[in-house]
Amino acid sequence: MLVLLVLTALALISFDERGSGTIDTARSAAADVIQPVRDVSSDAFNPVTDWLDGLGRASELQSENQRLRRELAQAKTQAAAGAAARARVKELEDLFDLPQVEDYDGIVANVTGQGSGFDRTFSIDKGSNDGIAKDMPVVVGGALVGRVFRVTRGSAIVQRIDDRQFGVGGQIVEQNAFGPQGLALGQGDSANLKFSPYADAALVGTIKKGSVAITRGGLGEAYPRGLPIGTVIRDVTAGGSVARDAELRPIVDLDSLDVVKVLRYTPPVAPSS
Amino acid sequence: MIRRVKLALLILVAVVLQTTLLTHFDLFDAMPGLCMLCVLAVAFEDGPESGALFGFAMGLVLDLFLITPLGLSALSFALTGYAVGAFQSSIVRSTPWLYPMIGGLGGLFGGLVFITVGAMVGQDQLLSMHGVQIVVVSAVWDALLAPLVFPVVRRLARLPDHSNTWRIRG
Repeated sequence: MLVLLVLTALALISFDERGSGTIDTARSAAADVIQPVRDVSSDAFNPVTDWLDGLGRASELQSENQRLRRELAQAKTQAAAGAAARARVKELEDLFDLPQVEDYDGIVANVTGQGSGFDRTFSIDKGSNDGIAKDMPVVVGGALVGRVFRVTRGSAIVQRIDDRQFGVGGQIVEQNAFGPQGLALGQGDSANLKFSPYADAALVGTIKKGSVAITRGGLGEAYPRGLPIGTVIRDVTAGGSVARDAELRPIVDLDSLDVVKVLRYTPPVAPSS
Repeated sequence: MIRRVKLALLILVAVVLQTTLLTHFDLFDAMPGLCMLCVLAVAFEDGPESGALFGFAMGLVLDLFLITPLGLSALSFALTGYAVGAFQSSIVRSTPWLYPMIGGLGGLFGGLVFITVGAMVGQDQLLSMHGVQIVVVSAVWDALLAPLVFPVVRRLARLPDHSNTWRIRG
């Protein structure tokens, strides 16, 4: 019997790896049966899990609170200084009819569970019945937190941006200018992402701590332009002929997500010639 | 029949707890493997064949909520269930360390099968130092929780005419 089970499992793995429609349908149907129980349990466990999360991070939360207060003060100053520039940018964007992140219709969903330690994922309580489709971007407060990996009728699994198999085209934005473009990649063994510039070191120069990486958008990209991905956590100075990778800290704490928004974004398609 | 219903409900409860509440007990990216512990306990109670079958079913349901290929957890749980069931048949007496030992070693074995087979079928990211770290820490969790989980699950999995907990097979 063990041999039969092993062969069945290997056959399932093989079919799933090849993207079998039958497996997807069966998986979706079975998940739909169990998902309501998970949703109820998740709601019931929420007070306990919030308490647990807070308990383990009491001192971290205290220092985070102090850091956030400092950052808020800085942000207020910068917001005042940047108001005029933003108005000008908005004018230009309206003029050229460029889409904004706020322009995309979104579906608000509750996070009902996290994945195992091997895959950095979370599940949400909305699915294809609510208009969610595979590969849609998932954001919190405008910042990218993941993409829809798998959808059932009433739920979906979201791959977090720090998952080892996640990658997105991005661009560094410094205080007054756009920086290098590159690829932001999840690392799996760290909550931070790696940002690998496309260009060589001579073109990239220094990537400064505090700069923000945003999604690059455009043709061939699964995400709209301008979604913040993460903040550069230390200065990276070019050395040698190849640009060095920067490390990005996600904008929001991916372990403590409660509510997310799934953007109904359709990537642009190249016009047929 | 009633036993099968109990075991099916056990799978449902374990998977729900594993993918909701227990994800918040994350330590170095590893969390307690309640599903694995249930498989180990059923295998320990009822032998290799039941252990493999129950492990396969438990793994298959858990796979629904993971992004790794469907069947990967089912395979590792079935092999682990079979191994622990076979090991159980050679035990002649209990010691206080038996449950933690089976929980820890079973969790370690199952985790290593998961990442090794995963890497063989294209999930290269699983076979890494980080993957091994998750397996080892999860095994420690499993060893600690086994004394709590095993008695409950063994009671549920026990056959109606199975009054004697300890069996010696020739």
